[in-house]
Amino acid sequence: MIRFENVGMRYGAGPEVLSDISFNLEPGAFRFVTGPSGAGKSSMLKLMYLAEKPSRGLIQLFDRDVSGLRRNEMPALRRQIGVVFQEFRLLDHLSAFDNVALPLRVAGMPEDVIAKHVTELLSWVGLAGQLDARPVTLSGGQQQRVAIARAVIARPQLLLADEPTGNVDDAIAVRLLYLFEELNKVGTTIVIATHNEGLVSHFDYPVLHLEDGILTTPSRDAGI
Amino acid sequence: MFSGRLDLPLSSDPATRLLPWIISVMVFLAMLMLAGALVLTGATSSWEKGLSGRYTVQIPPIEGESTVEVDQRIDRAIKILERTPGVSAAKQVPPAEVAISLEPWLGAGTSVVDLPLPHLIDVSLADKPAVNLGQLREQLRLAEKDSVVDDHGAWRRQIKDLIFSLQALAAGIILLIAGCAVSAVVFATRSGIAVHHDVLIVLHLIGATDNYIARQFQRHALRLAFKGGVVGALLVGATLAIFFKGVAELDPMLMPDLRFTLWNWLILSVVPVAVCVIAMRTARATVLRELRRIQ
Ligand SMILES: Nc1ncnc2c1ncn2[C@@H]1O[C@H](COP(=O)(O)OP(=O)(O)OP(=O)(O)O)[C@@H](O)[C@H]1O
Ligand SMILES: [Mg+2]
Repeated sequence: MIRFENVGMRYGAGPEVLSDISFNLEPGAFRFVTGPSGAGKSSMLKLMYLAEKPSRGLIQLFDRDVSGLRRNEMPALRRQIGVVFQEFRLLDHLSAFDNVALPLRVAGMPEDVIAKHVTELLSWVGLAGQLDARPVTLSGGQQQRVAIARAVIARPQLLLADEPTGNVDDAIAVRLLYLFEELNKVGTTIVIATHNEGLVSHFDYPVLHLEDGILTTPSRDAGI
Repeated sequence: MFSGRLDLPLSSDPATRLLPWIISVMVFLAMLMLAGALVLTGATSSWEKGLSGRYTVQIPPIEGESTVEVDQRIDRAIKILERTPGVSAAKQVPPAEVAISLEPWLGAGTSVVDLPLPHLIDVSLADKPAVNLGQLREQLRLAEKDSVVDDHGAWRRQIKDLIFSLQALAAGIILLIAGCAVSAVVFATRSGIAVHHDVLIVLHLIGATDNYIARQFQRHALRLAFKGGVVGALLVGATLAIFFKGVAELDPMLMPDLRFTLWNWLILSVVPVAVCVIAMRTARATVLRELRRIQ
């Protein structure tokens, strides 16, 4: 599903923020990415959702070499990937409903189906009363749940979540993790970057640990 | 086409407020230009057509001759004309009519009889056969040494040249206006892309194709162009209505044939439609080009 081989990455002409990252995730895997602030967790996820390019090394997604992707192949690939951005990146001018509906609209789904799915999912994350609310009128935790709903609504094969529980209390965090587990059970590969050690230990999934841009704990899957 | 949701908050862009006005002015100018060209083309070509089926023969007066002698000379000329193949009718323009047609220039009540005006014969031509003009002139000159056959050829050629230059000028100006409209749409679209850069990135990351994004800009541009087009067209309609009302009150003797046909209105209505299409195509092309630059 995801394969990194000696991947290095830098922003512009800056220093390498990721060095010699190698690992392999099978379809259906569930991983936490941990590490201190600034270790490179978000950067690694950006490589996975094709927002950044590696400065060296090889990345494969869905068995495709990422460097060989043509521009017009990107949208279809990205629709297979759901992303919860660390800073949410909700569209401020759209309601919670429309934000969550976006991936389905982009995929050309009919409006009546969209309405049903989106309403259902937003109720599930506890935002039934906030369908028409603009992101700015929502609390941080509510925005985060909208962001998560947007990431999972199209049932992606790969879910990348960057600090998806940073703004919610532990009870909701665990509930959201259950949502991810449900998705994982039906085959979605999940990668969650988080600081929350408690959460990581609450769920018994393997961890990719970054320190200063270097993978310190080799994942169990490495080298397969 | 007009309905449909925008994922981008384009309607709050500054360019959005400006563009319909710019477009309405462009549409107004282009339609007015076109209307002017159509009216003048219509007037001059009906004038040209009126001249193309006829000759005018001038018989200069001879000092001291009697009216009987004049009539004889004119009759002889008419006989020659009527025998000529291709001529369907020839008759003298009554001196009183000549006087009336000169009235605006000479003032009413002028006695034409006192002026050494040539006698005029109005000749109508048949469609076929074509008159052999050289031969006709020759024959008339044998009878009347100083007669002149005016086929209005030079005049008609000038009118045709005038029509052509008018049309070329109008086409040039309309092209210029279209160029300005295109630039305005390119500018508005580019500024929209710059303002919404972050939203566009998110849309891309969610899996939106360039096409999907371009459709939004395209739809938005169409809405704005439609607004501008309607306003511009209404202004032109009002302007023309006032103009033709004014024309109707003028002396028809002095005015060329200024009319606006249904066909002309149809041609005019192409302008706002064309503006909508141009705005859409331009927005689309601009977005696709700019997006390729983003990633
Ligand atoms: N857009 C950027 N341009 C330049 N440098 C960047 C950019 N984004 C991140 N960095 C740098 O890359 C390094 C890794 O940052 P990253 O955001 O990946 O860390 P992180 O592990 O996600 O941290 P956090 O837990 O605080 O979110 C940091 O040193 C950061 O300064
Ligand atoms: Mg981060």
